[in-house]
Amino acid sequence: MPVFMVMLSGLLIHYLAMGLLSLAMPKHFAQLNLDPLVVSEQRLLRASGWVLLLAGFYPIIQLWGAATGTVFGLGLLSLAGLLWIVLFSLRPLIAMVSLAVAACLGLALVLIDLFAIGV
Amino acid sequence: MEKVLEQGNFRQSMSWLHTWGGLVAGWVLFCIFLTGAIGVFDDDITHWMNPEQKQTAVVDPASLTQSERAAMVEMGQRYLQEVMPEGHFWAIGLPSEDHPVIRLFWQDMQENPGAQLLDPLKGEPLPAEQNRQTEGGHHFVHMHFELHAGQAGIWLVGFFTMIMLVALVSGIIIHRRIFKDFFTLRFSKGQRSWLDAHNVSSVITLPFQLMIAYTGLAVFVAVYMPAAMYVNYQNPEDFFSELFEEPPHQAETGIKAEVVSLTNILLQGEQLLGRPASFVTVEHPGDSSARARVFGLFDPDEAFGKLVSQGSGRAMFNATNGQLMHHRMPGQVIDNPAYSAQQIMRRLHFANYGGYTVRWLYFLLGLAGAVMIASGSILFMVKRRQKSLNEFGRQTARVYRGIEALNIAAITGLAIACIGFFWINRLLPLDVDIRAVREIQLFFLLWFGTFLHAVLRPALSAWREQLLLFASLCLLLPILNWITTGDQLISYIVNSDWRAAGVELAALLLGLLALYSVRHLRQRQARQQADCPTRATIQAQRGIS
Repeated sequence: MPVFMVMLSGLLIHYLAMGLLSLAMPKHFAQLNLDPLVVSEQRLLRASGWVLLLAGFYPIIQLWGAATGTVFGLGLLSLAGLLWIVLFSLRPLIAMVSLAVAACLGLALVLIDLFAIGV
Repeated sequence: MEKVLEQGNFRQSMSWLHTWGGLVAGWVLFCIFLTGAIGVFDDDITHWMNPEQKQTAVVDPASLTQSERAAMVEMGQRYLQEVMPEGHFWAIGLPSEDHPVIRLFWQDMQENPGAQLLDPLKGEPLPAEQNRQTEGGHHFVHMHFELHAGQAGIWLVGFFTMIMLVALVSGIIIHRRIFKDFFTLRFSKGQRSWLDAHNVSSVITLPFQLMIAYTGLAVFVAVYMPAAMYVNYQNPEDFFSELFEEPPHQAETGIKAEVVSLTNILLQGEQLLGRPASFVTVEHPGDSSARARVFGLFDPDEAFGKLVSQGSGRAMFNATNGQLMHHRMPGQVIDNPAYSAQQIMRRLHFANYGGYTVRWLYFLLGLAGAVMIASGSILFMVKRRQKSLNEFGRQTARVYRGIEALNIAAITGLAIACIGFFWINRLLPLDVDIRAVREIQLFFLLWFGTFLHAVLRPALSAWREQLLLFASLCLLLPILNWITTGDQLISYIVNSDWRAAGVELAALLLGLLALYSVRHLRQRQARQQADCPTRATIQAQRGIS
């Protein structure tokens, strides 16, 4: 996979992670004007957020190696976090849509990657 | 109880350090961050800034034969022999993709630099209409690490980078709600919003900011921490020759000796290294101590993703008799742990080994750093506009006014000067004497102009007017380019010249962002006027006591 797509997949997974982690916090979930989540739902969001946060490092480290991969992975995580926070604070609903788009696109990239390795 | 009090005092003193250290260093650090972020794309900006060179390229650097390169080195040597037969240094750069011409650089006995571009076929100086003399994107890089002030600038940048590290650490200490407010950004809430913006941009990008500040210092470790070098070596040059496993540096002997034909040296060097050369240099030409070096061509694919620099190979010759003295093959790593550690930090800072994706990542995170600094400086004044803290007694209002003016000039003023540099590049006639220097002088003049504007106009109007000017300069840049050179965005895209197109697309995007901020500022001002302004805001708006 080209470098750009690997980095994009890392960015998308981290974007999703940041989104889920913030939604797991009651004060941010409240920005959506929905009924508050129960504790178990919050825990689910937080756990999946952490899993995705770690998973986002995988393609980056695979491409660059552990040392550079960690640096660039943290960079992408920061960028993803900034993008998410700005969008979610300005337009929460559009941000939710972007989260869905990021999920689909990220999944597609992961599948392409797996498929490419299989070939 | 005592412990609680102590902690409170500690936080308070850290808060004082963060506020005032951050404010004073912020003006310089914003400049370092903004120009550093722009400098990530230095070669692409140079490419945009010198359209003549590209259009009149007579050779294709990728398909040069060895005999063609030899002929070019001969032409370069002939020119240098005439201009500076005895000097401190010569360098002949062979045509590359970015510079399809012969590039000559030299230093006279007093180490004053000179430069000239030659036509690669005729060996004659390139006429003005074939080469726009410009520092290009390197102007931003030089602003970034030395503020165009040479060694003193490097020291100054290092000093402020240290303050940045202090500000980062003290900022972490005084931020009580790092995790609770991790995702909190409330817009249109005045002071609260500025604090949120400052917190979010710092906390989220903290790993990058720490890394970039620390590795930035490590790049110049030999300048900032030279003591060991001076204690253990008579001459710093000896330190470097030992490090690079080269024969020791030789001082000038004062005995005259001609430089032999560099053509043979080039051929021998290329043969030895097994790849084309990019540069041939001579140290002390005209002296019997003269040494010539041949540098192998850098291969970006080979260096891709490698933290430890592999090196493109170099060969050293005695320039008075052409004998080989030393060489290092391409890919031969210098086996020295301390040196490798410094190389790794250097590469992490430069990020020039990961292609455009990594460049964009660094550019955006660098801008986030600039936002972090700017929002801190603005927060300082927003807080005091609401209610004066009387730090300076009767002079407080006057000091605040000065701080506000410096904030405006350092933030929007610098942004105007940076985009203005692109305008200067297109508007300054081609045949102006020392044109590249004039471009930079005009850059500083423009920046100073924004400072005067900030002093003379009420603060909020100055912010708005400068943002508006910045937005117009950004949005009109493609049109200016079209009028002055005939190149335009569409033709760049059609010809898939993405480097030039990228410059203009980025300018357009930044222009739109600035327009959005102007609109936001105007709405807030209108709201403030509607809410029966307090005495403090009237004072702040007039900027007088």
